[in-house]
Amino acid sequence: MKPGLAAAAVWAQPFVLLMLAPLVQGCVRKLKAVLQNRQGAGVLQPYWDLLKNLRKEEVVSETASPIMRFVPYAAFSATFLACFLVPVLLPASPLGFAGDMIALVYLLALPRFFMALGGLDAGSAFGGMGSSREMMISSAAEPALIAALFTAAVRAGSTGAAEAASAAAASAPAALGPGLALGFIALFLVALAECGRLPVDNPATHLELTMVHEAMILEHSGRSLALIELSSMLKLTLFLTLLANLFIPWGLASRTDPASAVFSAGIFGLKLGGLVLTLSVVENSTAKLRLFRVPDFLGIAFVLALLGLLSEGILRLGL
Amino acid sequence: MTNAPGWLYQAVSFLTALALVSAFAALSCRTLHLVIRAYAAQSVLLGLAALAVGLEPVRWHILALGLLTIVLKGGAIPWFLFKVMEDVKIRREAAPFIGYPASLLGGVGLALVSYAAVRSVMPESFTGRGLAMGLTLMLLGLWLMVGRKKAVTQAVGLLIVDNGIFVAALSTTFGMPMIVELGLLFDLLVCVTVIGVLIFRIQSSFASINTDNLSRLKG
Repeated sequence: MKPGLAAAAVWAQPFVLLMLAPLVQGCVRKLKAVLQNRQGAGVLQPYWDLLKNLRKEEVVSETASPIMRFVPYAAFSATFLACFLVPVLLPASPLGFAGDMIALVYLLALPRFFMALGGLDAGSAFGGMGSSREMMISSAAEPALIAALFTAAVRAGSTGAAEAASAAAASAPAALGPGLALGFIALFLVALAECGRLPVDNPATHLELTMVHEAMILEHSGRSLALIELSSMLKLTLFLTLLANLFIPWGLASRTDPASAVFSAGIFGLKLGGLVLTLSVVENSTAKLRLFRVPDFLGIAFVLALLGLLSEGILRLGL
Repeated sequence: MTNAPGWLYQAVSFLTALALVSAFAALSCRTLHLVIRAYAAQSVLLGLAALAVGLEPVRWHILALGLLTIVLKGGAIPWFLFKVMEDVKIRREAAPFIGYPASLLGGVGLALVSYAAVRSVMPESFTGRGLAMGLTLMLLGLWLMVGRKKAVTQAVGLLIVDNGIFVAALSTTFGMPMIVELGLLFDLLVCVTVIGVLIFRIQSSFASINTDNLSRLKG
């Protein structure tokens, strides 16, 4: 196999995620609708929504500063850059040499920072409320996210996402320890909080008192809104990819070539589908938490991740 | 257990780690029903772990013990506690002595302490890990008992301590003699019955099952 082709396959991975992101969102919405006995929009609807918003005129508040215009681009590019650090189908990531999972965590924090600025900038009361809530949730989610990712890193002896994923895949049946299960649950809970899913934030509502993420982006429209929506879809897909590749250690290709990428694409699709189904069932079966219970929820995620980390590295919990 | 096949070993390690997690679940739950459920889940997991330990080589008394644990600790005792809960009509632990996030983090600290303590006297082995886990469960049970006010939660704390002793006995000596284990289980049943009656009495004297009310009885 030519090295050029292999490199092309590695560099194609983040673009696959970008193409897939609206589909993942559409599938989650469709499944939630079906579980609630509704018909729901088709799974391709998010693509049409994005196209419609891209073509629309953008309206910016008169009181807003240039930051407001800059926010969507910053948010989208940071989220998309984070995708370059994650292995999707192959045991390598395009920019894996330049940043590890710690960089990933902070690249995911950057969009939140800019979106919170944007929320404050527009001058509406909702934006500031959404920003302060989002910051509270993200400060509680960050330690849990880092601890959960380190659970996977300890096994590989490296904080690189690609190294961690390939170490997990290489030791597949023996890797099924308590650390893996605890890390999976912790990262899933963090993903619910980080992506604004149901027990923490309801993505489908625009009710004043409950919205968090939606309140923050309320003043954006047109192309800005499309970019922000796309970056939050991308973030959800990114978290599901991390869950699938770090904590479900099957199906990641062992070599870097396009042929094994095609094979692992099938298994990756299955894993992603399973996670989407789990997500929609969880979202349908839980009620939204009161805002001040969210730190407790993320505290549980943190303790689970900590236990997983300890059992993986230091203590070996269990007999 | 030393020359057991890998998957069996893995299963035991997985089940006991989940049992440890359910002790943390009991520490984090606000409703009393969930605390009792967490205890029931822990007992079932430990019973299954005992079944796996007794499978290779086959030790009949461990298998019997595993079954008895699942039936009594996982079924009968939680059922009895649920009955008590139905009659006293109190559902939540409103104001614990130690808050929920603090008690979870304290629990992680206790786990670290007991693993470090056992590590300093015992090498890393099946027995060493089992003893460390037993000690962790005992400390977590005690932590639950001192942190909460409701009598039911304190009873569950005591039962978790008993599960810790079970794990320690299972991993160090592959189960105590059958007669001792049966005696222990019987003791446990009597103890839970007495606690149930006690909870009724506390409820009827104070219209609450907070045990800190008992200090008012001092002359």
